[in-house]
Amino acid sequence: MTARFQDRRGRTVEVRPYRPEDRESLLQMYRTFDPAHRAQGIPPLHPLRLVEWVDLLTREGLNVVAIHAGRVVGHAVLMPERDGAYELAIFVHQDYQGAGIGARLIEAVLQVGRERGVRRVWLTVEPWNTRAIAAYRRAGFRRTAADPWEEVWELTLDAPTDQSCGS
Amino acid sequence: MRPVVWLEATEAGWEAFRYALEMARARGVGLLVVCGPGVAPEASERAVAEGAQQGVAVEVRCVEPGGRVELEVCRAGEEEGAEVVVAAHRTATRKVVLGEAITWLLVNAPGPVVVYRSPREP
Repeated sequence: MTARFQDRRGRTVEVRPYRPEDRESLLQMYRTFDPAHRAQGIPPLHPLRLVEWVDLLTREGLNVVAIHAGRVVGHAVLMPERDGAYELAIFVHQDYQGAGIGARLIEAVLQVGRERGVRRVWLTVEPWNTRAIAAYRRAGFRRTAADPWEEVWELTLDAPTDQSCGS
Repeated sequence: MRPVVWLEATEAGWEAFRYALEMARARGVGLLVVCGPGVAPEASERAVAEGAQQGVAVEVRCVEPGGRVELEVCRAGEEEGAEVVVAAHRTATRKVVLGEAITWLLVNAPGPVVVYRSPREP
């Protein structure tokens, strides 16, 4: 499953499942990630914590990356939980935000999830992160809880279609 | 002026407990521990034992089934006139979430609320 598209700034971006050889580029994206764009404590700032976190996500989760000019510029992950649900998290490097890449990453990681039998997906987001919230809403998520600091959005995935299984 | 800690029997909960215990030890005061109904009696005993090892008198209050722990934590903080310590929760992706109960505490607690996060965890 690989998708190539032009982002809103005319850049050719590829979205595809994460591969082990992407690790250094993914780490580099997070090393240069603007701390002002951190959400709910992640990505970690400390270099060692960052490596541990990326390794945890890529070891245990379903990951997709957005690539431009050979570099990872976006990342989405579905992390399994004990109750069978998966938590979605997504980050797009600040130089590539607002270009439609986040929506493609969400679409791609949900497709990977469908193909792996994921049914329940949820996420938590800060209420002031309106750009992300708009993308989650467009992807079909529904808000199920909210307080002044965080919201919970949930989505139930359909079973994969024959077409998507073969992609 | 004993610090109050909301004890949850999780790794993060025990780290928050030890943070509060150190706070109490440094001040030379006791520690008031509030446990939710889901916390096993062994956890209460362990809290008292860990306190004794540090020379800190630990009092444990357990909330009855159906009770709201955050209310008891808030009440205890008001009685003691000291800060309350709670552990932040982390999701599978390690996002920090407060949840309804901690949010309620932040707004309603009479004094400082320490939302403890491990400095070691990503």
